[in-house]
Amino acid sequence: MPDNALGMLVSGDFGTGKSHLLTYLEHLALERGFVCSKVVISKETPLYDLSKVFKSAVDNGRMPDRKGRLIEELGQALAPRSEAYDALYVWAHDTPANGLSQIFPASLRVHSDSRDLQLDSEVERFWGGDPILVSRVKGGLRQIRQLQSYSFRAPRVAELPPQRLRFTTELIKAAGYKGWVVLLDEIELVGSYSLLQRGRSYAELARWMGQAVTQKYPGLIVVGTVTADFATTVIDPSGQKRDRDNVGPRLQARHEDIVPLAEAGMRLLERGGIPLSPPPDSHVQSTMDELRRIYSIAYDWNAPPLLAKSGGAGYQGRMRFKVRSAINEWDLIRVYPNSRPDIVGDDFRSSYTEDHDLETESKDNAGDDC
Amino acid sequence: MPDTIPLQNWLRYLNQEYLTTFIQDGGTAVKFVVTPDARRSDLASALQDRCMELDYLFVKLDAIETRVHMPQDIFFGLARQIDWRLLARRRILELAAARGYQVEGIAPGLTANIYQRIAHANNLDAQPFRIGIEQGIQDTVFKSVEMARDFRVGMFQLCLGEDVSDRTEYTGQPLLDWLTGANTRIGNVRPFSIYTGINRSTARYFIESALHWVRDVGYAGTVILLDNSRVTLSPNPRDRQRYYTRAMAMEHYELLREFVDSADHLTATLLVVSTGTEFLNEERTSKGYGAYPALQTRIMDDVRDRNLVNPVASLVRLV
Repeated sequence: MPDNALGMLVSGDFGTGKSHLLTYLEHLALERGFVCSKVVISKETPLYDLSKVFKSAVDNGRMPDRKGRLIEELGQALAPRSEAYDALYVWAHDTPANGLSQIFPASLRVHSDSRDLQLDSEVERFWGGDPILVSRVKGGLRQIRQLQSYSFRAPRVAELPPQRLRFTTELIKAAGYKGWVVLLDEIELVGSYSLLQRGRSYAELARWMGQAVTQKYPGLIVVGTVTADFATTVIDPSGQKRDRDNVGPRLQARHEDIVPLAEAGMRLLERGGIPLSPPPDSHVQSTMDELRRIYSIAYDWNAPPLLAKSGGAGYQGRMRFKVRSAINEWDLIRVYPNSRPDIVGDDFRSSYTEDHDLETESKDNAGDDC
Repeated sequence: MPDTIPLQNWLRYLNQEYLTTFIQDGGTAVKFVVTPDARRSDLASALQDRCMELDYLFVKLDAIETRVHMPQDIFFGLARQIDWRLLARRRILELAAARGYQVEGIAPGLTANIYQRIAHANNLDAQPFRIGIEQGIQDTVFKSVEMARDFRVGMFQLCLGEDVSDRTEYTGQPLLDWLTGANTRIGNVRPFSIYTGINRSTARYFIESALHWVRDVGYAGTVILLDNSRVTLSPNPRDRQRYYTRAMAMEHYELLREFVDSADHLTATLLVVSTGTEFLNEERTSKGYGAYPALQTRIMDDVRDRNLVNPVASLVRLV
């Protein structure tokens, strides 16, 4: 197991199949015994906020063999007398080495030894990103006569997200899974944040991708997708936003500590990751054949062969157009048997215009105004 | 080029391609229909009628009444339209039938003690009959891996709670209050060994579990008609009804995108989002779906026929 997270970026134009690739990787990860979480970067899950992206990854986590809430199921899957659990226990208690607050080993102890189901539930939710009262954990320790074994105060809120990420990755392994695959879709939304939040986002991207040298996340595998023109438009000194020049100075005042990480994140995006290139003829044909087979089975109707064309100008060369036009054509021939479909399309371009509503917190009680 | 389809035509395809086939078989689909104001009630009543004929649970949500940018409110809106006690009785009847008991003529909608009714119909003592059924409830509800932990605990307790007589009080009311959002204090349901609140981060599990449970107790599935035309309204008409800011509209679209992406987690469900033409505004600064490209790109008809409307597309415009 590598001693830090593994990361990979995939880039491509709209319609080249980035999101579908992530769905494929999700299936693959689950088949191979990993827990997998797909997180779409969005208003509710801004990349610059690790606590929200982490919580979303927990909330969206899927396991190969169980349904239900990931964090609850992990709690139930732990087998306190197993070798994997012992390894987690020993690791969690070595806080000088792992950098965790003592509330983590203490909560693990409470979870394994107390018979208080409600407290167990609160501890699981704490691991998954919710707050917990320190007095609740200490009360649990008192119940099992272990209060004197732990000494801790409430950790600072800002310290918790990276520690939770580290702890949950270990929890997943201790519950019998091979690791945690996190798929970050639509990273290009970062281009619509303000400069400060773009800078913070680059730093967080570097962390997720295992570039934070002082923070280790072994067992975490992250794949992100981003549009092909993101770096040239948003980061490059000759682009629209010139983040390469502007991010460092903007972060200096309040977030000096993350400047190197933000630089690393920008470098990752500039290198562009693995580009999704247009499929060759043979690939297009085999995809269409397979699609036709699936469509015919799904509708119990013999879908006619269509002429599979590779290439094409702009959007017509992309897999999205080819797949959608084939399905549209079959739909129409099936529902209107005498029709002769004539499929057309439009291009779609990502916009990196700043949008302040993306950074507007919506309170739970908002929207009640009449 | 014509880009609209008459409501009745579209309903015909919805019936053929989804309600009597795919959804009944357990699948899930999300459809967006741009509906003229004058046709909204026709759409709702036609869908409701069809659901009654096919034994679907029909749920109608309107962005005026339900805060549709908040997942927990979507769940509470759904839960308020579910007769939870009826679902519990359906499960009890189903278990009794599976064990060879005579249940013909016993309607799950009755208010008397269903355990006693079935036992009486089979000339049995209620107590031993109940013990046998309780084991079935444990196996199929309490231990079900298809539903979230606290939800299945709640359904288990609701099934047990149907053993109520004229002389005893119904014990499931705190659970009904918890499910419907009437009383969200977790202390009320703690005696049932439930410790999770229904909130922004847990609501999705409860929605998935509820849709599974509806199907599991014997309905063909669930049809949800969500009218979100209020979300796109701008400026604020100051008509003393709910107004959505653009940030809230984006959260709502994010929620819809999650429904689209998680369709394979939902059981036998058709979600029809009924909306107005402003929803199709592609400007990033608007309150249309252009404000949230992740939803727009999942449902837009960027690839279409030059002359014909595809009635089974994700997005259709009705007349």
